[in-house]
Amino acid sequence: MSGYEMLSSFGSSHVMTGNQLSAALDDLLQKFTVVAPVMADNKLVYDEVKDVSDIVLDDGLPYKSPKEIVFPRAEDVMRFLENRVEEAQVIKPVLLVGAKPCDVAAMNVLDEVFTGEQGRFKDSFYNNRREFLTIVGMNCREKKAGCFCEERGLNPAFSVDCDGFLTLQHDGAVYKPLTEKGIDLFSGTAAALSNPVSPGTEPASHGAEPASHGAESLVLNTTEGEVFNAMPWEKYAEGCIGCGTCTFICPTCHCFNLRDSEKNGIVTRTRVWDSCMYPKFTLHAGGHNPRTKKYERFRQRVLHKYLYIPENYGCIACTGCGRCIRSCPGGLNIRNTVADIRSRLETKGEVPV
Amino acid sequence: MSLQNPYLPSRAVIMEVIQETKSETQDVKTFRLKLDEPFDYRPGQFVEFSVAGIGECTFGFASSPLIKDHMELTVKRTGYVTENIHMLSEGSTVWIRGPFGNSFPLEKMEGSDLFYVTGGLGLAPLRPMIDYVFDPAYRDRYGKIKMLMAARTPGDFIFSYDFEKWAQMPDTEFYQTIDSPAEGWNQFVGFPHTLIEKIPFDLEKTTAVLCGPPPMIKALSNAFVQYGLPPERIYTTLEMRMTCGVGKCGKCNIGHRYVCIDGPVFSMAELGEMPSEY
Repeated sequence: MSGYEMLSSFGSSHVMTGNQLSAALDDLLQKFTVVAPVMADNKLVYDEVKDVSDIVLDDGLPYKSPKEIVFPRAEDVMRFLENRVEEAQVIKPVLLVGAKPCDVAAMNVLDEVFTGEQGRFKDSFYNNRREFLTIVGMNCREKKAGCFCEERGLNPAFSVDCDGFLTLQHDGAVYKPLTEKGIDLFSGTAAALSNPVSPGTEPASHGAEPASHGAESLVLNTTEGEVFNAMPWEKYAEGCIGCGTCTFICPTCHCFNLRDSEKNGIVTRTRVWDSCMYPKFTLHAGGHNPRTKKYERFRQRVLHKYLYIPENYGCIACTGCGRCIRSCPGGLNIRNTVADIRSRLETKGEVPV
Repeated sequence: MSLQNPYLPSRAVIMEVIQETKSETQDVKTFRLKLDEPFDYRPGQFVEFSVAGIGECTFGFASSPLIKDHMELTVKRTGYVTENIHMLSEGSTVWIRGPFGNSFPLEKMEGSDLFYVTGGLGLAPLRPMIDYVFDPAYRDRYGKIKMLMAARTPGDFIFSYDFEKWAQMPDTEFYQTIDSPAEGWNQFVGFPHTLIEKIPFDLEKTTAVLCGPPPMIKALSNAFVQYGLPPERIYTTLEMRMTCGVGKCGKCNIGHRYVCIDGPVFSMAELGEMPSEY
């Protein structure tokens, strides 16, 4: 049963005024660490909310993705004791409010990789955090330069892949619960779900599948053998300075390292982000390196998202959020790269660069 | 490794440290370990080996899984973690998680002649299979055995204390080669891929198992294929930088495969379908 088929089996949508929503979130601050879009250093980011009035719901896609909630950039995961290790994670229940549909989709990709059946091993550290996370999505009303979620088959107005979804309306929002967690969320708060939408006023986006759903135009229907050597990867990677920003800003990138450090005689192992854009990422201790060139590393990033993860997990690890495009100092553009590969595949490589 | 969490290692104590290489650098040692929580494994699998506060590294098992009271790992001193491992001595505490990865398809190879070719430290991950196949309980499941062990110099061979035992096994031919001539050396000289045509083997019945530095594996497998051995009957075990061992951290990703969970053992037929990023 797809998410859209399940829609009808959960509670009906409810209308909240702006004041009711604020009061409800204020109540939820007692129960959760609330993460929502807030302004920090003149940038909109998903960050921990101290005061409900700081939440900025009526704006575009935050600068950074919310992946740090489930996959922090540095996280102590274990400590070494005399004859055993103990887990060192500190986990609190988190409520993410205002996640845009692309960021909700990214969480699905991370779920597949870290905890999905196809992954064979369950990543306990990710799973621990994910189980304590409730996600309330929200419609995205501003397409930024570089955004291409619709080409990726996403609907910026709605997502079923979260616990509940808020659709902003004039003076308030319509909340649609999508899971048990989402139904329970507001019970006992100032905005207990007591005000169902009147017939005929449910936002159209909540019902039917969007036209783009299942009709993703930006996919690679190809094989490793067909694209690995045949595409002008050096051309695509021109301008790359190897900074790794694209991987850190990406909502689905999840490469990591484990590092030990010692403090007061206690050794802690920390999981830290790593990046396939760095030459040391694949450097053997003995000096051999299977991926020495920048274009080889950019190829790895593109194909990992558009070919390898789809093969292993059945989903593309790029949501079209455009963050890597907006952040790249060298002007690299994964959307245009994939589009170029597609046109070359269609015309059997006849497209001039 | 706890069942719930594949990242949590369990304790092991070093029982014995064996100096392997006799050349000037003496850069390879074998560590015999006693595990707090022993586990079963199959030839070809690997572990993550930690020194607390220093870090973790990946090593193939270097001793037979039929040995139950200890486990051996062979370590070349080549980086930060391995330098620190080399400073450890009997009684030191280390940390192990595993076993990870697939294994040599020993059942599928039954009935085959086996041709092992190893370079330097590449002998270590093959030793569990070599000793398993030589075990009287399993020996008659396999045909003739040829072994070609390569090292840079005569002093760089590891497990040289096993060589006489292996060479005297029934239906076994044992050869050694070094990179360039050395005083008193009366065996092969030269890279292994130039030598396989000097060692007659049955193309119809043989399965080759190779391990060594990546350039050696590439040259050697090409030589075997040119000689007429089908890629489906040439196996190797790949070395890649790894962190997690469970297909998450991204380091050992080649095409859609992860060396840590889809490998480290691959046939040349499988590798031929993967990007050549190893």
